[in-house]
Amino acid sequence: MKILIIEDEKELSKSMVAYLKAESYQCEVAGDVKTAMDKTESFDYDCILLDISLPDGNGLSVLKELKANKKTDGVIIISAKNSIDDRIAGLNLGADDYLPKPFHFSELTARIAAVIRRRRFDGNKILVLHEISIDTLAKTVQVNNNSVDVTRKEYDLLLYLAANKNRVISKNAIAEHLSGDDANAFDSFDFIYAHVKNLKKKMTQAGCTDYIKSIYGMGYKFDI
Amino acid sequence: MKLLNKSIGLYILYASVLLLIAIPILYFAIERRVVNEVDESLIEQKHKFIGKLENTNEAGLLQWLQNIEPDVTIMPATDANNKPDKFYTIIVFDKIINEKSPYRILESNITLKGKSYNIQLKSSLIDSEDLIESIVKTVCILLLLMIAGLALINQVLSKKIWKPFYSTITKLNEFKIEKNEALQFEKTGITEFTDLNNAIVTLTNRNLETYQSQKEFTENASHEMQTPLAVLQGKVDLLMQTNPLSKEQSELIGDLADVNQRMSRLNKTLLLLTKIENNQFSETENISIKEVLKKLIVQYSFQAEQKGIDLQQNFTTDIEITGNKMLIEIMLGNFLSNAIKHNKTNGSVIINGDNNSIYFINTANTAALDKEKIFQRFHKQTADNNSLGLGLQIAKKIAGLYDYTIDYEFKNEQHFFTLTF
Repeated sequence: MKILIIEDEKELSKSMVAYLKAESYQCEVAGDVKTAMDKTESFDYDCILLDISLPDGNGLSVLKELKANKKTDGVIIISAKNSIDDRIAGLNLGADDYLPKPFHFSELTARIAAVIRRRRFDGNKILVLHEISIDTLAKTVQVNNNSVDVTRKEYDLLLYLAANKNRVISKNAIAEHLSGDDANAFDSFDFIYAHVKNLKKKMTQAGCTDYIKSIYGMGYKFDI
Repeated sequence: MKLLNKSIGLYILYASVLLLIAIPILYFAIERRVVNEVDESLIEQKHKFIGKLENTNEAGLLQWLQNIEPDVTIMPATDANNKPDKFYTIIVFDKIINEKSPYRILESNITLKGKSYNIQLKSSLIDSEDLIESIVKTVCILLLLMIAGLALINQVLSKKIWKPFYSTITKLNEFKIEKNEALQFEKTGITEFTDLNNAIVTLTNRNLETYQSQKEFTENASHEMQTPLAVLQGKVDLLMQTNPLSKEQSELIGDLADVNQRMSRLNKTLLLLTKIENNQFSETENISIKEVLKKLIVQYSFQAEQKGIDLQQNFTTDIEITGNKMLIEIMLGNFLSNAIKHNKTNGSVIINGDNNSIYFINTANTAALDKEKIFQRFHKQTADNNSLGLGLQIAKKIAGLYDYTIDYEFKNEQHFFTLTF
């Protein structure tokens, strides 16, 4: 899987590369619009992470160019602005997702995985991890071909953990992912503990190995 | 009291005092003038009379003369002393008109053919009561005319001359710094008003500039913070993946992640506030409050459940409003999440509604909140680190945008927040 990171902040792109490499993605970096144009013209990427404010222009011009050339690369806009106008403009131009800065790398990985999954043409929308299979279309979970009755939040949580398997995911990242844009939703991490506990219980009861490990002081890890 | 009324009132008071003082002065002046006139005419009469009598010496005739001249009394003098003329006023009761009338009397000593006579001439004066009455009447009419005239002038003045002043007041009342619209006044042609308007324009423009630059600062600062925050977040996420980590290190990294998260949330919230202030949520649609609340209750039911909180919604009629859906959701969400956050374990949250208000009522885990402070930025009622102290400020900003009002009360150990549309 090839990913192009278009980001002018070197420290950020460096960290993104380091994190995504461990997910076995091949990463390339472009620090400005010109380099980005050159790269997108010559190569195809599974996913492009696009910063809007670049030193030599607006990142959206790269997106326009891609669409003009009928390229099918998945695009996630990464912006420090988080303005609705930008979001709408980006999505209207054909971006797949919009992620405001600052973001958790686990969130980024989950979004990339979702974009790549959606762009897949073989129609396979089922994620299989050992005995677990997650149907991302029907939003259902099966363990050893038996359905597990999970709530929407538990499904989201499982998919998030699965997208970041074998990585430590901070509880903050999970909280933010589960409560969406609403920063008010959580005043403590109690509700994450509760969701995790419920999910673990349902999965183990269905005969699944307990892959969800609690990592002291930091969060959780889907150890598979 | 209007300034004009006040000055006109003073004019009227001054005029009334002046006219009141004028009454006795007029009275005495007129009376003196009349008496002088009468005295002169009495002397003249006396001389004419003497002239007529010069040729007669018969007492009988004198008596007869006196009879046909009722205002003249002539008698032989008892003493031969040649007294000087004497004037005085007497009051005589007039039987015919049944009224007391003043008379001016001239007593004189005359000599006719070696014989001394006392002669008394009488002339009626103006009745002083009548005089006072007519003076008072005149003065009163003057006063009335003056008041009426002043009132009329007042009316015209307040309509015409004060018009620019009132238009200035109206414009000032309508002035909202958030709108970023400079004030503009029409030319008045009156120096004082032009000065006033110029001073106001200078003042408001300076305020607008200050407000604008402060807003831009918050906006820019928040925006510029996003990238370093993203870098920091990324580094912490990477640090988490390093192996091996001691328990101590894990704890430190976890703390770092928490603080960074708080900083990010704070920054996002400040940006949201700035955007609300900048009116960047101009898209509106028709919103059913009931629907929004239903959605929010589903969203927060898990948190409520965790705390054992009983979440009730008693809505009789739905409220339909027009606004930005995202803002309305944020505002109502803030009320609801506050009601759950600042609640005791196994407490309750009740959402009531009527035609144009909704009430969030929750059992309190604290004493009454300070009404003056709760809507202020960064005012925290608790030492809870996860609370930013911006929730109510945002709710208030959104409410202010649509002219909704928020009230707070504390009754029976319960917080009552009322939102009136």
